[in-house]
Amino acid sequence: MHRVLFPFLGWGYMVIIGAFWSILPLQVPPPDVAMIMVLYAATGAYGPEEVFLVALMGDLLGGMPLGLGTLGKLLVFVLLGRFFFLVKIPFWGLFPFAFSLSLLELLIEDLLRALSGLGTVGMSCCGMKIALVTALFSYGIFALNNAFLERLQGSGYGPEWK
Amino acid sequence: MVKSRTQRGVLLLLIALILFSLYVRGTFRGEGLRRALITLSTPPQEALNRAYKAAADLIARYLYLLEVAEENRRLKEEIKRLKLERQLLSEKAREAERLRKLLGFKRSAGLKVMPARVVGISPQPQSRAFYIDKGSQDGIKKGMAVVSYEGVVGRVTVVGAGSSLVVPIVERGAKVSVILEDSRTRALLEGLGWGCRLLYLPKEEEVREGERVLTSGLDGVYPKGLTVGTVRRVVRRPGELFLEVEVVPSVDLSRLEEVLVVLEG
Repeated sequence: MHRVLFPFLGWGYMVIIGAFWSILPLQVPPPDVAMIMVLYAATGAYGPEEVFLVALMGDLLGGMPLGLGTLGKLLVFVLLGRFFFLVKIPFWGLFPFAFSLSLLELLIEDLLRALSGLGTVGMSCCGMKIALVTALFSYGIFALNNAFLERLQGSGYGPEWK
Repeated sequence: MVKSRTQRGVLLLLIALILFSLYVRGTFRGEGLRRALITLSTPPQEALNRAYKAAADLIARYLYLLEVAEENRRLKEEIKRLKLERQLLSEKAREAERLRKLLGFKRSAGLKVMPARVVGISPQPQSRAFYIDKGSQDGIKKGMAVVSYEGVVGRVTVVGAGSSLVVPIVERGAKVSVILEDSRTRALLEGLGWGCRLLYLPKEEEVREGERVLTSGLDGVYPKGLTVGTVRRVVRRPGELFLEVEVVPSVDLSRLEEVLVVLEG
């Protein structure tokens, strides 16, 4: 059940954050919700299918080149899955974890853009801001995911602060 | 379990790679899927928009009531009510001013346009795309230009039934055919995500900082003569064939609330 709910939850976050970012006079970019869901999935009992769906939804809703974000996010998921499967991340560790991986994913996307001729080489100045906002929002989304989704014993984000 | 998860991940990576390759080649852009998702996603966004405005109004009224003191209650109430009214009126006046400018722009530009409201933004932070509350039911078609009284905003890329996705000119890879106001030099404007730059301007061209950049009308999307932005920086690098020209868009996307979709240029 939790695996079916996962993509719907991702879509819900995207819709809500998209709506609020258009209402509030915020000068910072919105968080990469799909990326946070990927990090949650990679450390929990979720498969690449859910990640694929969430990342593809992000591409489709965001007006991004189809498959670009999906490729970057799946790549991060596969790499993470090798080392972080069912690993508990402590509260303090989530920020650097989400920040560095969000930045890595942005770099992968930039590289893919440059290789395919869809953009120029070099990450835009917003890259750091996006990673920072994503890392901050990851606390909220991880907590909401913990509340909404059934978690398997010992998986994902640490219950020690829940 | 881990191994099979990795294997399935690699398989899906291949599928994503195929999708991306098809997109780059222009064979498959997933427009049906985009249309369906946008049609599904914008009604809740519009509802959230309305709910937020209603809640903000309610909180403002509640706070207003809380602040009323017992002593001189009527007088203070009256003063505060007038203050609140003035605030609401000034907000209405600001809205009216924006709409008047839009209307003025509509008349002066001689375009057939349709006003639309911004109801949401792209969930991908790398994208500057946003949603408007008009779609195919309102006569919106893919490729139509979107403008505001300040200048060019972008173009419609996906059209849902009652909403559409607009990709602005600052979006990475977005291109607009432009002309420099004073020198009348033609160029291609490319979005960088955070701003724009002019491509393929020979070093011999006289471009000055502060010069306005207008649409040339040659791309068949944007009507001729609309303001795109102003030249912020011109760099001549030794050994390079072309100038490096940075352009600041005239429209501030973060403050955009209403836009006009150009139905007929």
